[in-house]
Amino acid sequence: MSSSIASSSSSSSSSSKKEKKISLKTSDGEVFEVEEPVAMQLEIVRSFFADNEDVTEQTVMPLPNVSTAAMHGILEYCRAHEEFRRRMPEAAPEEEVRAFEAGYVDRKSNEELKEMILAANYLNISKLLDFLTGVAAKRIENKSVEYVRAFFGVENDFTPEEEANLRREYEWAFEGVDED
Amino acid sequence: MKTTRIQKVDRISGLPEPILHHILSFLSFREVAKTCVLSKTWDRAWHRGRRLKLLGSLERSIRNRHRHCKDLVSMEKFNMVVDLFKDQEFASFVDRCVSYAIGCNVKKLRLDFASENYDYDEGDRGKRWYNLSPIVLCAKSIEVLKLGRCKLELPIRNDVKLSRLRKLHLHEIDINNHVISNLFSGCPLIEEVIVGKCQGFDSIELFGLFRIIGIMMFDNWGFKRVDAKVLNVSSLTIVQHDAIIPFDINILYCTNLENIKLVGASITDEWLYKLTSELPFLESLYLGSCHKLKRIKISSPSLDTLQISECVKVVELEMDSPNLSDFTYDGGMISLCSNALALSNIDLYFNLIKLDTQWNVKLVELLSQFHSFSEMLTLKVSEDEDFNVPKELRQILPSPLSSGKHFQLVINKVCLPFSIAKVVDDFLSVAPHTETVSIDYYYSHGWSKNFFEFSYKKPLVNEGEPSPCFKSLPISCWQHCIEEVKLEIFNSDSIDEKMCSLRGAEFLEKVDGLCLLKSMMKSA
Repeated sequence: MSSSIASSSSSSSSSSKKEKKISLKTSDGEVFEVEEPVAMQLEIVRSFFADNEDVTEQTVMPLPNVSTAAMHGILEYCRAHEEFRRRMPEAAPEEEVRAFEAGYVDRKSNEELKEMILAANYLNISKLLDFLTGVAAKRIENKSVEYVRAFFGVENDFTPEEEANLRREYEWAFEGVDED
Repeated sequence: MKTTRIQKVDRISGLPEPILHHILSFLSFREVAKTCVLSKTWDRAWHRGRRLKLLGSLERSIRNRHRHCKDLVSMEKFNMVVDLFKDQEFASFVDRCVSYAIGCNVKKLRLDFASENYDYDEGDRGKRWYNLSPIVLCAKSIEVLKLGRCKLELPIRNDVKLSRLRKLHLHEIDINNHVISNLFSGCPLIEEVIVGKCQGFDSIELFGLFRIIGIMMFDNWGFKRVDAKVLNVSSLTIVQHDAIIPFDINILYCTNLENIKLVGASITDEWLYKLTSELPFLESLYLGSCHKLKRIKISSPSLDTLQISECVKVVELEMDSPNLSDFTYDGGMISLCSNALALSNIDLYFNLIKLDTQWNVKLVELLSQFHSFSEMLTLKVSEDEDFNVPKELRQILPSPLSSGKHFQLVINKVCLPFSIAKVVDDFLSVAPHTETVSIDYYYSHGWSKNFFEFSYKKPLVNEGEPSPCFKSLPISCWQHCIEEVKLEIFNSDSIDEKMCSLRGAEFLEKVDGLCLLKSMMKSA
């Protein structure tokens, strides 16, 4: 469903005459031709074009901290949101957005998610960053310490005794506290 | 040419710290605290001053939600249960978060400022408490409000306006008379109130709360008086466990009361009689440590459960409560007058020092009275000597207990060696044809449960003439008619359960050998 939105958005944009495109080059050298309104969701791109008068349409903006894989994911999200905005400029179709976001993020592994978070942070797309960090939070919520360690790639440098002591100290956090 | 550069960040484990905080900002404080166990770096991040940074990101996320949901649906609940940071910054942080939550039309608000190193002996208790922002007390959206360990104040000329509040829990709150009385008058829809371990107020007046169902107050410091007038309340609990001064209570026109529990109340026999006779729906009554009560008289046709505990001056109990089914009593010896015919469970625990020389006589009298009502009677005594029916007493007993019933004896402390046979003999002498007897006792490092089931051969009643065993009654004593005794024994010092069956009156001689404990064998 999400891919159909993305493709329909790209096809509709290609059919509209002479839509401005912006070229973005990822860390591994691939150049993406991105429709202007989509690219402008990337704050880093927007300020780059706003602050530099000498750039032209032909300027290829390098994004050395974003991989091609992450870029694909990011553009999929931004294009979908641009499509939502174009169809319903007043209020986003909440349910559709939610369904898209759920499907979108379900397919991402933890590693992909982290890569996307880093990219969204670098590209300064606050909406996407908010969304992805929220997803990350959900993935570690109520999970074991071991899982959270693996998620963040943390190496456990405690001795078993130290860890046991800490767990005892923060017993209230590990035990169930009543619901409300 | 200006470009936005990637922020220089000190990385802990892959993601830059601001992002980690962003992620943690979505989680409960508890989840965040758990991260200290991840690694030393995380632990340090948690321990060293960064807490406030974490709080900052928490606050940011609450503020964002506040922005987003201002005009939309309301926030369902907002819980903040944190350590009390001795820090001005913390207080203002809490203030801001609370105001965002209220701005989001929060329905359930819980704020608890636990402090691990709380020192009860310190005089300046109040000073260290967080002063709750008074906006909480006029938040129209709040339906459930639970507050713990903070101070509640109300600015002059301000009134509490919690027009939707249904549940209010206050725990360890510093609150004065003015605020607490204002609190109740400002909550017209209140249904449930719990006020526990609070301080700063000494009296409370509850008046005209038409929706109220339950009121519970316990262990409030310096609490002296409660007035409850014209309330629809069905359950009222006021408990002051270790209060030096008993509290006064006044209950007027609360005719829907079903459950009452009073501990440490300064109430008199007359007051209690009047109250119980005025409450048509009273089902359950608990009286604890009410030291003015001496001769309790209760008149209540609806009463189902009565519990009297540690009312040390009580010597007499008169119950006009034909529907009473459960009766629990602990305290000194009492004399009883009752018409409770539906009693099914009786628990008696005599734990006061026996000053009375007639103690044993009174005990047997009392047992026989209760026994005629109830199928099942449980008696608890402190020491094995407390249940003792001396030989000379057996001769003059007014009447043996009626037959075919169940009896349970619990002895809290026995000194070994201990003879079960003597207890059984004592009991059978006052209740000759009882069906089962169970005797549980505790000794210095263990317990023992002994269950006896008796069957009798002869008809229990001697027609016409009095029996040779009892002066007044035409029945024979147990020695003359016992047929079989089934025994079940569990001891804490052996895993298996012993079961056996004995015949005839001689069983008594074998009982002690069968019930012997390993520890007794050693000491023997």
